[in-house]
Amino acid sequence: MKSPFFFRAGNLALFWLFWIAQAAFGQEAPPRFRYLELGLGSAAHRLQDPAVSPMAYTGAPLAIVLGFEKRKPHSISRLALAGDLGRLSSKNATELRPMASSFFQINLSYQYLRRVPALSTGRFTWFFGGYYRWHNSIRLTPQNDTGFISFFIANTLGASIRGERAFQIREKEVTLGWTGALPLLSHVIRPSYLNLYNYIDPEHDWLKERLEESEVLTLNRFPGIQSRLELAYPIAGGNQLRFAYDWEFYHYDGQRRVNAARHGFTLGIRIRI
Amino acid sequence: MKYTIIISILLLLLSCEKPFFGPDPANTPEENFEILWKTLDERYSFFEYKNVDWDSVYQAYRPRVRADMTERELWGLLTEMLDILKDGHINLRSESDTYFYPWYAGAPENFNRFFLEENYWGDFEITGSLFNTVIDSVGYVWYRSFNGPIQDEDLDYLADKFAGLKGLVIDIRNNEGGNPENGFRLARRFVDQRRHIYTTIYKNGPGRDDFTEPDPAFLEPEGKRLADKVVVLTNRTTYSAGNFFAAMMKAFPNVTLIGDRTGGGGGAPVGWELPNGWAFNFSSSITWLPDGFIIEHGVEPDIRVDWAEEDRAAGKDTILEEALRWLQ
Repeated sequence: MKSPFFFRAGNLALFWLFWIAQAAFGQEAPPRFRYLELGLGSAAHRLQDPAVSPMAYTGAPLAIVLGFEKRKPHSISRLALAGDLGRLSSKNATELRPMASSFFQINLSYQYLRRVPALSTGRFTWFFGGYYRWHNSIRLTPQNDTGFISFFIANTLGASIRGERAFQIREKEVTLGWTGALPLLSHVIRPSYLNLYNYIDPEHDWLKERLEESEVLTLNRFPGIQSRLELAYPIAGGNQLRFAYDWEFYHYDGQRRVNAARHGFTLGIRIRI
Repeated sequence: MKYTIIISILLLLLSCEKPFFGPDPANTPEENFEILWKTLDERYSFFEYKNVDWDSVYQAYRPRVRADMTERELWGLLTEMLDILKDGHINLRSESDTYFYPWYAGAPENFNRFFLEENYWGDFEITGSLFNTVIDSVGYVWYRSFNGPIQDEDLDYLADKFAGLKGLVIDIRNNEGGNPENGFRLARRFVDQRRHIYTTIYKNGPGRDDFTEPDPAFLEPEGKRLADKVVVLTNRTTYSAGNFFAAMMKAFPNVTLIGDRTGGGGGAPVGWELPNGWAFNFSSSITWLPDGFIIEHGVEPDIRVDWAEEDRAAGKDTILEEALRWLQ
């Protein structure tokens, strides 16, 4: 079966090239500090989910990021929609024993950071703030029959910190930034103990069942970390090329423990608007 | 020095995911056996009902697992162990074989589709997944698999076609199951009011007694009614979603089950995989009728009838004949 139009790789590449051309050769934009961002890349995942398999699954799905960032002298706010889609599999997988999942991950996040003047006296400027993230990780594993859908959905409030410094490369001011985030309070939705919904009840309510088994967790039972190292390089029109390395890990200490790690590399274009 | 500290911190952060990720289980005969046995130990729902001492099974079979055994030998050992549970919802699947327990073994066949086509169906229609005709002023539907989708439009068409007839025969003999949702859609056309059809508990933890609270399931009427008086034909090959359909139809006062006991399959199957890539399914729930009868080993018919040899020789299906007589 063909992929939906938007996700077909060729169309994505064309769209991305168009976006770069617009950014590089477009007319000079007024000096405002708002950016729209489109990034493409790949993310290496490692996932241990006993609802999927006793084995860890790994893979490097396609990564897409859409973002909107607003920068003021004393604050940064960022709204981002990031998606990974591809295939994860076990190291024991063969052509005849696929041991694989189709993998879809979508994160919608909002981050707000305030500059911390007391710490920003040196070459680094530091910001501190919080974030909200809606994390959806879905894996479809056909060999598991009725238990073929596993998911991890978390609504999280957390703390963020960012340090950045500017320096010159070829007479251009390049910004290197690092952002770290910790989940403090999360609402987590996971499949049931059996990874099975009550499909033999004609009146079953899938969402109600899942919400009844959901949990509110603090950092100690849902430890995780998000780290983003990014380099923003100015191009024409006040726009930027942005290279980012995202590293993320979480451990869900619930009834069906999950360990998930992600190392993502994306190259993006930021249009100043 | 400063950069060394920064790099060290970054490396430390990168490696802090590692302690949480335990090693993968080894792909050895021992580990594959252990995972299969333990998964069933924690999640299989019928040990008590079937009076199976699973720990004793471990004691008997674990010593027979050798590190140097071939995959075929391991397959033979595992399927021999699974046979003890006598459960058609337990299966083991590799690229070259699928194991399942033959729940219908030894039972009378009681069904022959081509015999029916030749002797009863006449000018039949296939509406969606439903073979249908009219026999002696009685509507007749053969539904061969609950995997075959049933649309409301199909049922509306049949409701019009069968209007004014004496009754309806729903033949689910040899129907080995599929999607229960199709059964609900069909059964809603027969139920007269919201009725309690069965109750289910699911495993929700590793302990033998770890089950969810009982969930009573109800069915309400919906759409054009197909018939007032209904007979459901069953045989031992009727299984899984077919078994659940028979169970829910048995709860309706206007429905009579005729034929043999259904084959069972009263536990909702769920699947997983072993480190070597073999996939397996097992039952994870227990369902009982409103009178408390557990349906894992089948649903008893209201009228027990087998296909008599002399009827077969005379071109008659004893079970269908009984249904037609019942509806006259």
